[in-house]
Amino acid sequence: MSGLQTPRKRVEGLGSAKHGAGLWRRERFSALILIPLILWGLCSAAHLAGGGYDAALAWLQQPFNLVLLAAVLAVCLWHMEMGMRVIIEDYVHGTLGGLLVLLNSLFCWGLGLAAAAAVLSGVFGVGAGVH
Amino acid sequence: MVQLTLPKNSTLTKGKRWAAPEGSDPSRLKVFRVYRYDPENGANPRWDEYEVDTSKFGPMVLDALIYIKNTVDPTLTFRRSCREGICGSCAMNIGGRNTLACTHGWAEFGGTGKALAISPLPHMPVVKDLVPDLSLFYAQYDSIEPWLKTNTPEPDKEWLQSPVQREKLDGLYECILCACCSTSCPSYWWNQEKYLGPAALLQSYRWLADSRDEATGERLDAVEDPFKLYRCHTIMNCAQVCPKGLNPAKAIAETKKMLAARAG
Repeated sequence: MSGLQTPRKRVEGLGSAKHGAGLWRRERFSALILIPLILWGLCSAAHLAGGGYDAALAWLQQPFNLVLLAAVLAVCLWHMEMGMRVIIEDYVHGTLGGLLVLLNSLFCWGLGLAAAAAVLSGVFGVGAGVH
Repeated sequence: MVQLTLPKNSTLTKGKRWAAPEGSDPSRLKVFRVYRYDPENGANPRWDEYEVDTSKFGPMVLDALIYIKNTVDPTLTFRRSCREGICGSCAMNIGGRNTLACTHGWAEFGGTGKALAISPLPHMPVVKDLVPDLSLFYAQYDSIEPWLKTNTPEPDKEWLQSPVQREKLDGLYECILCACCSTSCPSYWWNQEKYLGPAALLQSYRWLADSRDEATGERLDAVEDPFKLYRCHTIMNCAQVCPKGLNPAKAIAETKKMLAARAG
């Protein structure tokens, strides 16, 4: 019965996980590289606005743009996965929390794979003519 | 899910109003709205209002509370001891902000004519009225093992430390463990069973920063945990409310930097 546990026992819990520094560094590292990437993304979006599908496709077929767009998607979703996980852990405890953390990972991975598929199909012409 | 609303038996009800005696000078009256809870009678907590003549007591909020207890309502319960900001006993939520009743004047919160709400430190179990149960908070302090740990045989005299090394402890050792910071921290509200809280982490860093302590690695191991340390999201309420002007958030950031440096 938890009511009979000493306060010291409650603080002890399962002890220290002895990790966390790595996640902390990945959060900050991804945030830092997102600053230039998001700026580039916004400029590109403004540049492409109103240009139509073919102009966007031609833009995307330039290797420089393709690599940077892939980086925006990957780092953004990576950062989002870590951030959402922390928010869920903050507010939702127990089994439901664990389940939501799992769903969050699935969602971010799914979104990343869908975005990768969309970009690659555009560049390499898979499914061309669907537009 | 964390509990964002008060449970039914904790919702506040309207309490009693203690009017000032007839003939009091209305310009000197001030209303103190005080959180009252008595575990003996099974009733919900309530807001009691004490209308008192401010010329009858000293300038501090604690003076007002002592006056109310001595002359108006002896059942009012609160902790106090040193009345000069060094014991940390009279930490409570005054006018919506955690602080010490003994170091803040009631006039700072609107002066006469304006009501001042006083409640216990937030999000802790209430023992009675303004007295919170701080057992978990003290156990968290205990868990960081707040004493000098060494392996080197004890020197004949003292452990030596240069003035520069000693200066690194300024802003850390002054903590009086009043719990204003930890109980103002939303992260601590939602996860106080797992997150150590700003006060315990400030004290943890006090030993990490001590040039004489030889258990740095062991201490870092003990706090490197997604919850114990990394639940700090730099909300900064701790630094804002600390009645001693300390900055627990900075101590936590320094600990995170040490861990990052250790990871290579």
